[in-house]
Amino acid sequence: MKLFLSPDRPDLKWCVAADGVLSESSGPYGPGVRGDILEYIKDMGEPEAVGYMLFHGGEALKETVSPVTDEVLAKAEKSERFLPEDNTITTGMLKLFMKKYPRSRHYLFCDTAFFTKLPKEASTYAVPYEFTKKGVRKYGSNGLCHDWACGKITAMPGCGGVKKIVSVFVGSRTNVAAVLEGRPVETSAGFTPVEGIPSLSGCGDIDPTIIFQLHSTGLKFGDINRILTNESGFSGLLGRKCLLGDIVGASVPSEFSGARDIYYYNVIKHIGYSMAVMGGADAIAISCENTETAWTFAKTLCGRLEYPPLTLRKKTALAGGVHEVTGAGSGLKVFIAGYNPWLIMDEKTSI
Amino acid sequence: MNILVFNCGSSSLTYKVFKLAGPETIETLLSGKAHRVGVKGSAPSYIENTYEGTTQKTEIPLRNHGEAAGFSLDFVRELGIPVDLVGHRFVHGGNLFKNTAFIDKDTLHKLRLCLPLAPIHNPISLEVIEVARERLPAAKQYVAFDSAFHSSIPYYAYTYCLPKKIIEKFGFRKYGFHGLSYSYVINEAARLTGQDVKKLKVVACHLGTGGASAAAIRNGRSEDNSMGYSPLPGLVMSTRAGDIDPIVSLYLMNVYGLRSDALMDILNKESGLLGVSGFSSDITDILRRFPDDADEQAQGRLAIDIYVHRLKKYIGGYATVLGGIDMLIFTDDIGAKNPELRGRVCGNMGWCGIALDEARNLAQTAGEEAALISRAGSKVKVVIVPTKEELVICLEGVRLLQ
Repeated sequence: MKLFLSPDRPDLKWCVAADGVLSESSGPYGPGVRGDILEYIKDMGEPEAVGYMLFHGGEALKETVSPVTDEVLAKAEKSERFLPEDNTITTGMLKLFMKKYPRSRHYLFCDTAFFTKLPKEASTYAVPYEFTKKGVRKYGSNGLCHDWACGKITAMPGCGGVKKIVSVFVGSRTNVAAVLEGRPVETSAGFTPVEGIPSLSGCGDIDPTIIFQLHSTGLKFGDINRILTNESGFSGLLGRKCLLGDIVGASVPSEFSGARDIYYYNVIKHIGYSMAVMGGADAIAISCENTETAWTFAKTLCGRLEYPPLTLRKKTALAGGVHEVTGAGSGLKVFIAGYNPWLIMDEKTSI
Repeated sequence: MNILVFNCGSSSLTYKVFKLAGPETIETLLSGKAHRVGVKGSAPSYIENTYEGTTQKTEIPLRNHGEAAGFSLDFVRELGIPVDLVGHRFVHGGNLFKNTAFIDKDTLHKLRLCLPLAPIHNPISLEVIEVARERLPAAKQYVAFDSAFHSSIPYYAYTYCLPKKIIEKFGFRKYGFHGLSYSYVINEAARLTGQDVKKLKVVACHLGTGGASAAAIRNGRSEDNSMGYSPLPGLVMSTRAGDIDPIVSLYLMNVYGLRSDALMDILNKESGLLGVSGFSSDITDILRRFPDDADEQAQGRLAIDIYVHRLKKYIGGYATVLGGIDMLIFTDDIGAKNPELRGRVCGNMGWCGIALDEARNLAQTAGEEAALISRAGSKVKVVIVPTKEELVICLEGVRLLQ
């Protein structure tokens, strides 16, 4: 039996893998509220392995998965400052379960590690170099997913010629990565996952001048951070809770159509950025934890992306994993990937 | 009829007097530029005036743009050139101005409301307007806006996804800049290739020695611009950072205790090519210079690599949102005069139909006239056009009178 944990702010998500069956649960997490998970697992016995998802590994963590050592733990703690709200959930859990299950194997999964290989011209901001030396750079996001999806595609029969992949992660923080022969060369996510395509609650690309104007009205940086990270995006813009399902469809209720247009405009612009960096593309990979949503996204994108034109084949049942769905006359191969981080964690922690 | 045009840069003031000799003929009677206006330093400020083929340079202290405008007006008066109309460039008209406007009491009031939108550029333009109104009370004056051309940008491109209440309170949105330049160069480029600008999808790159931006233009109308609410975001510039994760600023303030106003200064004045290279804000200088120091050399190379990478991204991104493009335009000092940079930017861009003619590209270094630099079979016509902002401002005045 294995136990996997991931921040799902403000909650914690966890998954128990036993005899090939994955059962996912979630519950609130915060100082003093670790009750749910401890209650849940109290009769479970000692897991053979525990895996922890860290969303932002900073500069120190360069491996997608590492067995937890004192050094790895120290690196994880050092990375807290990059994404405090998420990362402290991971490090909190790490310390809790290392102590509780001293005989288990513990693994840290780092979602930015894939992007530590970004070329310098893509990762470096045009700021004084002393800031770059302090760790101000692009770190990307959802590296585990991009790495996995692109790896699966190039290993598929008939896909040997697929070298340039535009990899789109569709989720609460949608982002695009350019993956050239298995290596990342650009990503829409930046220093944090806030940069890039606007998300459900994050502002995406904005003029940095805005921060200084907000600050000059007396708002503290903590307030501004909260506003940009949690109170903006499509929910903030609309002044109501907005879910991914509200905006991905080709036809959505009229109150969401503006948000939908902004979302796809930004997605398509970032797809163009990726193509420009790779000198075009051979394929586009659309990954989502929900394959139905991935299909809906692909369908809407086909209707909006004119260049290169995309078409999909007739829809058939899509289980998890990666499927080619390219239609006749499509300018790029199209793949849909049902992303399940627990499966990947299970796979990577098997001896 | 004579039109005097003022064009303020952050530390310069260009002025020109145009003579409307006929409906299609515009002559430049006099041109001048005040350099190092309001700049503290060892090198003195000076004015250059060109009249009837002779250029004369005068060293003179110029504490601010108002003084520079005063000296320019002295010169116009000494030469006995009558002025019928005065045009001014104003960088940021916010949502108060979508078109060129005559200056009256109401306009002045609205211009004042626009001052905080471009704190470097707008106040100095207003200063020049006030001097010109005082000195030439009989001449009608008008103001042309850099942001006006971009008022056609659709909501899905101009909206920042911030809380509704904050957008309503502050008016945050993308405005876009270099509009006077774009409106001129797309017409010149289309004239050169014999195409109809109303049927073209264009990416235009205004690459100046100070600011730089890229624009997506469909059928003569702007659909996107890499600058934003202010002229800070987008491309890498000489000292401006361009795009950066908004959280970086908060991180630097929080972890390193940087003050907000100091950081804003750093992102505007100490970043970009200067910040990365550490030794120069001038791309031509960085491309030409080979510092002895290996670290400096590497930093210089990285600065250029980031500049090229960012610009390629915007060209590809705009080509994609436009559904493919017919034309790519390079303008202003860097765009029109730097073949090495153009060559690197256009490399490996065959996927969107760009094929540069190497020889033609290398031949264009002066940037004094429009030229086609793409290969004969290139799907996308690549064109360089020198920009003429003062002429555009003049033509705006002519249009306004009609």
